[in-house]
Amino acid sequence: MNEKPFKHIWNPIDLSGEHRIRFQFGPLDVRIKRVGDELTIGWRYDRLGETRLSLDTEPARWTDDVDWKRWVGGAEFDRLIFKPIMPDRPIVVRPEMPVSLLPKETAMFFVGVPSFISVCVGKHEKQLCDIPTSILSNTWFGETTVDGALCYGLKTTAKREHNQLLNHPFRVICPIRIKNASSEILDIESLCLPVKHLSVYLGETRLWGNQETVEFRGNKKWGRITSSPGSPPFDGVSGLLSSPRDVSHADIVFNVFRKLIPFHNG
Amino acid sequence: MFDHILTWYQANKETILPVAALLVIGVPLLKFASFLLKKSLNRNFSEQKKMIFSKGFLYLGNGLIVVLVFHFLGFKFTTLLGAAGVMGIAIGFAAQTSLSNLISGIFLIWEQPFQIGDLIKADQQQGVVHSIGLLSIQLRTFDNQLIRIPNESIIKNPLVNITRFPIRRMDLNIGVAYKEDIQKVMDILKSVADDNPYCLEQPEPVIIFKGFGESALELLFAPWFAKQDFILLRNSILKEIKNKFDEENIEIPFPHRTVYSGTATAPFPITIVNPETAFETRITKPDSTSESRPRSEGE
Repeated sequence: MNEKPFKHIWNPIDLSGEHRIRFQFGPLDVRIKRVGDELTIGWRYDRLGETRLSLDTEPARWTDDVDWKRWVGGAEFDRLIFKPIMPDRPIVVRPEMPVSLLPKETAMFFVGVPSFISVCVGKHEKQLCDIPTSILSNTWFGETTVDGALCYGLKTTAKREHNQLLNHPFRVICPIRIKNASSEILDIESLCLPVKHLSVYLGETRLWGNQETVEFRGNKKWGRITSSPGSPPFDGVSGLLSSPRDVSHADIVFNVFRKLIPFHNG
Repeated sequence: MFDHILTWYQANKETILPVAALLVIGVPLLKFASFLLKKSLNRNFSEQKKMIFSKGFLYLGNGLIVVLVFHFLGFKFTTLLGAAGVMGIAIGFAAQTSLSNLISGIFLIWEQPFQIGDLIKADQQQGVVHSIGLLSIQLRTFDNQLIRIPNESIIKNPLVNITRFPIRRMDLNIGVAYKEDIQKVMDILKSVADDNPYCLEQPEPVIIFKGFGESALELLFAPWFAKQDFILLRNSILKEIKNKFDEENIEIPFPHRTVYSGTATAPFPITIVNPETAFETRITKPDSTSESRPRSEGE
């Protein structure tokens, strides 16, 4: 048994020779076997393991109750690295209780977005697979069932201070600054965050995403989301762990707060 | 023999050479050009538009080759056009269906109610659109058969494009026993949808108490899902509903009919005389106490 602390989990791991690794990160439980020129990766989920964080490079025997995937490579597998990345779809964040923001006011909220784990090998860090750390539910974001986007849904406590957040290491904390630039009260029932263009940074105790500023300009106008470049000024953030999935969007204008018009029989 | 052919060739070589060139080189070249055209059309063109452009080019080119071949063979087009008038009527009658399909095909391409790869229901057939032609469309069924449907039939009859939009709703009709608490059942169904990762959070699942059925209280449970998750949702949600109902002792009744012995509310009274001889039952006349009993068929 050889477990590593939070900061060292993201360092490259030497996998030369025969090796077994067990990586438990929140609900995700990843098992890796290296035998000769083959690498086998399997994973499963445990809903109760939200606070788990361990990388065991000499695990005791495990039961093979997971679905395995197998890769054939060679020397590339000598070096393995885990990278936390942002989800592959936008996240629709819904506060557990509706929040309203008065006109011309600005407020900061902290949202923990479950990360994905990218398993990379070799000097050039070639990605083998991309695994969500928890099973996210799907949701639709749009005014009608025809026009919109398929997103992941996330309920949040929308804490105002990051140290009030639960100790869930698998979540990337996204600081969101909401600015109500209109003369109306902004009722935040749900908010769509396009997270594909966010990087992931390493803090002292948590993972962090870029700070985003969401500007509300009135119910009939589209909102603007701006991502601040560089690491957020919290938790002694030290370095970049992974780049964005999509680098093309830094400044997005769309209806971030729009509501679905109910559509059903009768 | 060879001399005869040679003499005939020498005499007609001004006709034979261009006709041979048109047929031997022109036709394959035209096919190749049509293929290149299809490949070169960019992503803004849908698959059927690409196919129509390339086929249109091919048919036009072939028509031109036929005209040129007739020209080199010495046919007079004025005579041909005269004959075409008479033949046109005959051909018109003969090709009525084909022409109708052709015109329907043009309308289909213009209107674009579906694209290649869409799952559609048309003319009582269901399948994935395999190809869209000027005369017919071809569907690939889920058991891997090919169905050809004439375009005329597609235009004339209602057509359902199942996968046109990114999300869909799965309508499940659920019946529970009359003794069950409807609100509790609705809450259970909501929790099943919340726990299933393939059900969309928004739009929220539709749960409607439809009414009093012959054997059950009827509900509509209709969760929304991303269209690619159909099988995953179908396979998981029915199982989960059954498990959850079993866990909560919610009864899913089978169709049944209650027989009354003369009064509207009293059940048919059956008394088991001896459990050892359970089939020997005695039918008695309903008494006053049975009037107040509930309409249970469990007695």
